[in-house]
Amino acid sequence: MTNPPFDLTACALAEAVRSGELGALETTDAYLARIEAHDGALHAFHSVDADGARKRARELDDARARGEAHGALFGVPIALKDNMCLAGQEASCGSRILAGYRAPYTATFVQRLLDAGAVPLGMTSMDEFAMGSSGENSAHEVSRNPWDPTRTAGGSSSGSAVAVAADLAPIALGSDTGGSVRQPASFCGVYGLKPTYGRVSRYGLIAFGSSLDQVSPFAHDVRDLERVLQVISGHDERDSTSLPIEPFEPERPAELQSLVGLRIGVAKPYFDAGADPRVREVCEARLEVLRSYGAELVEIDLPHTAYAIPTYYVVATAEASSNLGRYDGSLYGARTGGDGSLQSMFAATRDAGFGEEVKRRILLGTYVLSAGYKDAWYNQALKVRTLIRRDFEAAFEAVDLIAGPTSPTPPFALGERAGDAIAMYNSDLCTVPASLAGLPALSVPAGFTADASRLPIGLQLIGPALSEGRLLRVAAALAAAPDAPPTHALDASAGGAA
Amino acid sequence: MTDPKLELLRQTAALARLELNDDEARALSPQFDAILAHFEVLASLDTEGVPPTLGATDLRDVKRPDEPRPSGLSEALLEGAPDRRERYFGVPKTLGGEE
Repeated sequence: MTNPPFDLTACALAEAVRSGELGALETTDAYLARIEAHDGALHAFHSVDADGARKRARELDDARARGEAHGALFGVPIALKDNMCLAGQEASCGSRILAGYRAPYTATFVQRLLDAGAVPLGMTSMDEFAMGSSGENSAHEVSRNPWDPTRTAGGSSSGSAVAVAADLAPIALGSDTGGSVRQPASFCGVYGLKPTYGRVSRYGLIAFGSSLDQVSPFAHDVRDLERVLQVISGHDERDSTSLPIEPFEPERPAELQSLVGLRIGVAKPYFDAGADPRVREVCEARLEVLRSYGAELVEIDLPHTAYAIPTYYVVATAEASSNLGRYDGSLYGARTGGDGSLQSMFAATRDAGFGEEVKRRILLGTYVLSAGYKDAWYNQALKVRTLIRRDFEAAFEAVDLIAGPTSPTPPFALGERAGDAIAMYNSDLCTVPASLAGLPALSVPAGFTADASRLPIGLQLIGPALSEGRLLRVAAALAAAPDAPPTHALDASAGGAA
Repeated sequence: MTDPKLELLRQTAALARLELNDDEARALSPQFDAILAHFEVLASLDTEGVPPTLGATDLRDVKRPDEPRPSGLSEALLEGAPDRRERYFGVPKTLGGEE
């Protein structure tokens, strides 16, 4: 049974709109109707720009009528995280301090999507300033996991993961600082790819941790991830951390399911450090599939993994305390008066505008950078970051890529960790090491817990810098396995086709 | 008597331009201590001679030609101002009238 456009990949959708089989407006309207039907319960979107999306879709239909149907994502709707700039659209970052703030310009990666013919539907829910692992730190709405609405969708790119998993958009962008795309991808049973640091320009992405942030796509399909990465990658002179290289080109192996000669390092510390047995079981079953395709599995150690969480939280909060210094009520965003002096306006604005977790992280970051404490905390964390980087360099002498769980647990219940900052930080155990090392990492839907809860589990693949092609090739092999898990949450949970 | 831990937290809040009243400081202090205690493991590593990693790429001193060009953004930026005064951003007085 088919159900276009929802059962088409983004690549197939672009082809269908280019050829005239489907209209761009017809496609956009179908997604808008689906958002209307489901988003009241799921809260994937913070704002939906129905008028803007329809206007753009009409322009694409007109272009096609003129014989100008070009673009790798022609007519493909897309959801953007609420920390991304599209001129004239709200970018609130899940925060009161930026509520109603409209981006004055368009991010480079968004412009590249527009140039490729994509149709932005709206901005998705997120933890405030991308600080969180459950979406619960949003000042606005909290996304629900479409596989089980009592559970978190993960975070911080919660809404983008939900939008894709529930087919409210065929593809979406999030930002990944310490796992903010990979972990929600794992929790929502879809693909999430954090590219190599520097692969995608961050001009127009509102900053959290500048040495870590990376724009990252979600999709149902490996080819769709490749397509989005092709479109958004490549050098941009407006981001000084953008690598001076050409856009990504996918690998096209002659035989999809042959992985002979590939050495995969099984990340022992990611399995050992408190991984839920259900996660272990599902991930190990996927590794066996890779072995059956001829890959060689080698256990590897990554000895400094236990230091990754403290290192990450020291570095990321230090960078955040600096990046968020700009929100003081002077130039943009909300302003709260104070007693009439400049200093009191700054403090009153920040007090009223930031939520609890953001304040906690700004305080932590300010503390680890302050005179007398900087050497012991921040400078030490930067050195440990080098040791974590070296762990990966040593591992990649022996293996081609590393595999392990994306998250130590399946999606947890909403509210379960909300009052416990340390438990929440520890959710990021398997994702922060690759972030600290700037490496590409991909969460692949691996299956579901075998118990009655049937919760999605992700397998994480980590490769050397700029090895996205290799990670995606392995993911494509897994996707071709007969027991590859379904990724469409609503249709699958309703018992098959919609 | 002042609790040195609360005092440190208040000083940090002042540096971060955050208001923190006594109740908030008291509520936050044990969380802050617990997080730092959890992170203390970092100090146990011998990092003598290990260089710091400041960024995840090896790019250095990235520059572009210093050529003036219009941004075309002035109006859009001013539109977002909390207190726009014609072509200026309005803020409270910065000199005088303050301690």
